Amino acid sequence: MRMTGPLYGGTVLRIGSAVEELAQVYPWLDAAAQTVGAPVDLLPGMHVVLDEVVMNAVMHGGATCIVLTLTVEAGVVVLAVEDDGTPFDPLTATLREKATRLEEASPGGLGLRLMHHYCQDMAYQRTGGMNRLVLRFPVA
Amino acid sequence: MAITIEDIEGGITKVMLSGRLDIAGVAAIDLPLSVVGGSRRAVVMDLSGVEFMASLGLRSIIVSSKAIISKRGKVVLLSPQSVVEELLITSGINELIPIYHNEAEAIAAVAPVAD
Repeated sequence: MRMTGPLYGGTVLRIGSAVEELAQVYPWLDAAAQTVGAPVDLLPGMHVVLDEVVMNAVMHGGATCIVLTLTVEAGVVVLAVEDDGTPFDPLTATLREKATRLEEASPGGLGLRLMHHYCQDMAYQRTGGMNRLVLRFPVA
Repeated sequence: MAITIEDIEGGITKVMLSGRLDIAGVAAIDLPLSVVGGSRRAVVMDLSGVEFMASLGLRSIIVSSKAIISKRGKVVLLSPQSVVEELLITSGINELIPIYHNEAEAIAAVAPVAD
């Protein structure tokens, strides 16, 4: 029988916000990418984006539960991230201009730029008290 | 994640970072890097051993670099691997903190100018 609910391991990962649980996202992504047949050259960018989304959810959203799902749909690698943090739609957050001097550089806001760089597209929904972000990565 | 801080000749400090600057890795370098930011004025940050970095790691480097610059110091990045360099370029950090791929040039770039 095929289970459809969240699983521990496989291509679904459900974690809490403790650092040792957050650290599981990296080995999980490597293993899940192999399972679904995602191209290896996508992995560096996917790791950056995943780190970004998870850290945002925990540090800014106060999330205590995060569910990650990796699939390949019609040849596109799709990473879905759900969390129970405060509502945050990264698509409506404005991208700041790049700073031209280090003195003016703000460490925040870089993550959004990186997400836009590595993702083909992003979709956001708030449903049932959860943020749901669907990130699609281009397959060359 | 490992960090070593070495004061070399000419008042220059070489910071070597290695491993993964991820959620757990950043916690290990945050304090040492802020000590460097607060106490050194000519810094080469060797990134050649860094396998992974995301914005949290970038943040740590930017905060430390800003502290160095605010004391009229100089800081450069040395030999990032290609995935890390792509991140530095995408975020525009390469325009704020110069990247070198040659250690002698990196050291010369931060060396205090003799009065």
